Amino acid sequence: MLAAIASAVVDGIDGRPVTVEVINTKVGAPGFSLVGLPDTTIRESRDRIRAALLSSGLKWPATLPLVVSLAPSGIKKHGAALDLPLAIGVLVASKQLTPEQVKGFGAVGEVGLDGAIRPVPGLVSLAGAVAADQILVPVAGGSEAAIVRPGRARGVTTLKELVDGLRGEGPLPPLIPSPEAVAFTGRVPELADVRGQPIARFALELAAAGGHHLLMVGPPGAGKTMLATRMAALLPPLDAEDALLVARIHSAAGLRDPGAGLSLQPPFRAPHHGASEVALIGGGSRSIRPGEISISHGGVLFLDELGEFPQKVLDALRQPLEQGVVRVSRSHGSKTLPARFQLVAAMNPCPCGEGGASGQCRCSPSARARHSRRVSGPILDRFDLRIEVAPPDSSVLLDSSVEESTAVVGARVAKVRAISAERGFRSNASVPDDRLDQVAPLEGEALELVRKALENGLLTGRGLRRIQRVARTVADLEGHSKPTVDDIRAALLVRVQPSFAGGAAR
Amino acid sequence: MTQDDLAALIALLHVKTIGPARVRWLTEHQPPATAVESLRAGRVPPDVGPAPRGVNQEMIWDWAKALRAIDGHSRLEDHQNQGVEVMFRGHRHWPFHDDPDPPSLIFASGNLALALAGTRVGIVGTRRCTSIGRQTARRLGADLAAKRDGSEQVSIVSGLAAGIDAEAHRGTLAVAGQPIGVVASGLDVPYPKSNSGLWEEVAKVGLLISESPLGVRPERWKFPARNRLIASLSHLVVVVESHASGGALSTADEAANRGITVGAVPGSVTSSSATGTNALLADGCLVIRDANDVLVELGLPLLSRPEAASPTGAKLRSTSAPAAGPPNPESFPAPDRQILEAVLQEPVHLDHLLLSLAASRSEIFAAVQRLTEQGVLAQVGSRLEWKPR
Repeated sequence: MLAAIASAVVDGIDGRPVTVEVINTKVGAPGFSLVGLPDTTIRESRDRIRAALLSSGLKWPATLPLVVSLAPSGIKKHGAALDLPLAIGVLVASKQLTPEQVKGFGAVGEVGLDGAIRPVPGLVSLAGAVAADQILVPVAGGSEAAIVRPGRARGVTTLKELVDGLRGEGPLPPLIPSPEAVAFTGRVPELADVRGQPIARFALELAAAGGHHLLMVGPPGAGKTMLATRMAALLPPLDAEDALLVARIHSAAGLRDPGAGLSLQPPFRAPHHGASEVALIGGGSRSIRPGEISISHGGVLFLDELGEFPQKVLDALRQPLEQGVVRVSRSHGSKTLPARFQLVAAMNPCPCGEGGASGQCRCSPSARARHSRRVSGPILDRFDLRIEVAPPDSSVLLDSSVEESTAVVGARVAKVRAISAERGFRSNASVPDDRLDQVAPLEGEALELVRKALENGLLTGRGLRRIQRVARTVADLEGHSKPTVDDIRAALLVRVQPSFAGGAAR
Repeated sequence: MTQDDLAALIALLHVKTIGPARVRWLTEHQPPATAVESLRAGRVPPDVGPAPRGVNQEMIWDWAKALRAIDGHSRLEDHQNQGVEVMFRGHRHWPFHDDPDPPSLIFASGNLALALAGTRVGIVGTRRCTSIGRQTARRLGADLAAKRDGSEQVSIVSGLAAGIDAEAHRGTLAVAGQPIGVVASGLDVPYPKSNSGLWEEVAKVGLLISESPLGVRPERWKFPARNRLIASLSHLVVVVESHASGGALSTADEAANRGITVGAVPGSVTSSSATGTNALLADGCLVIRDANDVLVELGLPLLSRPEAASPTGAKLRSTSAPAAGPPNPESFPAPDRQILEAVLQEPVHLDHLLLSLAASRSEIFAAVQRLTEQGVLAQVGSRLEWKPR
């Protein structure tokens, strides 16, 4: 009796359909032969399934010569998602279920020794890839499956309950209602908590409104981290397409809360500088897993202590920063993962941290020189916005006047994002060079100012393009149809050469 | 002093753990050659007083090993070949006759006569200085060192360190004055490396001296020792900027111990790089606002006012700028005036301007740009500083 159950495995962030075929060959020695490039996890599933069947009051067909094939046989398969279809296949092959009873059902899920069905990472992508009318999924991760297969996913609690349902001896596992999209969950850090620091607030607003990468340089305690954590809440909610992509990435990375619905909240990730290149960029020895830059797709990647990250990791960021995707190649294949994140970085001006205000630094000249070499020119150049952050005065901290809230600034950000969308761009930062002069034309006084800056060496050719994009965002915030001289000035003053990097050229 | 004794002294000065006091202990009652000979054999020289603190037999053995590896005679030849004068007590230009803690030898390059000639003013300060401190040091150096009719020239003594020291030398060089650089390492080992060009210039037009033989690297303890030579060579020592502790204050102490007048430039009470100088002033040191305050104390003819304001010549001044020191904020419209007033006090962050001024963001940014274009302001990161001319 051949049983064919539709299932899927995760490859990067994508689901790959897999059909699990189990057959009783009736000749040969009794056994359980597994073919189709399974990895160790799948090889071990035989023991899990045997235990699960026995503890669910079902029989393990110890006397039958079973052959299990995972099709297509050419791709490597890994993960415990195939436990459930394997268990069903074995039940059909051993005539404990009939092919008719399982017809139209696909399945993914890990099986526990007691017969419980457990969630696996990547359910969003898996559910989308299973080629079946209805899918049986672990109840705990059911909402993930329901995002992509609304009204088609049944949440299974135990193997026993499932078999009873399929035999018609009890109700089928319940359909999972499609989850509602949630804009923001949990407590959102409030921008009104940030006292003073008008330049940093302005830069943060520009970064959110224009999608510009932001670098903050300042001594410890200046509030760089506090500012950065306010960033994600300023961004507009993800659109449906991005939200689904983010859900798939997070699901594949095993990051989603079981039971959470489709989140429209842009991700905010703050990896520590000790993180490995693989953890940040993506990769892995067995399968390619998304790294932090993919996990923060559509949101903010905050790198605190930018200078402490290994040079190799920082340089690996350059391609994704330009292209919005990262190509990870390994001996077993290469994958292109989405990585369109907004980079917010913070660093100290020098090792002792006091170098911003001249005369306060306690570092030796060589230590300062080493520090300034840590972040290479090409990386510094990727930041549209570069500011120095100073700790606010005590008078500002104790001032009881109310600062602008996340909601107020967020509304202005949304307005600018809508204007860029009308122009046909995701954000002002993503306007390509060849469209820039049309989107952000420089005329009159503004042109004069830029020319002077170029002549005085205050601005480089590459810097000009960045300044133009930022000026476009300033102009959008101010309601100007073209960048004015004021907008250019503002753009120049929020893209300073950090004092540790010397010189004033932008 | 015989060639053998000179060679022996040079060998002693090559040993890392032998400083001026230990050299004196070893050579006070016997010729250096005798002392080195017994040290090379691992013995304490016969005719010495009680051993100074920290000297034990183990250290003597280390010295013996180090001394056996050094050929003092060939080192002495090196100096002669490279045109470095080896000066000792009794040398024609020896400047340390009255010093309570004199060096045993000094190595000099340049115009040796400067060590004794004319009036010498020490200008010292912290390496971690503000741009205002840098400007003050440069201006003082230039104003004091400039040649004037009818009065002998003032030489400027400093330590060729980064920050204030370097600026004092630069100011001196800018007016073709006479710089005296006193350094801690051998004359061929510039430290910090970034000042190596300045070393060469000082040696070319002025005098460069060190207590260390050629090739000797700067040790930590050599800097305070160097400071005593700066003090000893100066008729007056000016501290331009100093933190609550630091080398400049040790120079001031050494000067005070030798009865040499110490002056200090007053700074803002909120600036950490003026803590040390303001403390000196609180202790009763001379207040130095400009070159004339130094000249009054030394009894030298004063600079006339306009000259005092811009005596630094075309080299230091941009050609278009009016002959003035700090710009007068009163001559600027608001908000430029308030910005300038704030910046003249100390460097300010843009945040401070945006919070404290009534003007809008665009108005303030426009004013900042105007002042930058006029060459009055310098943007350093997100901070604004008064631009030194």
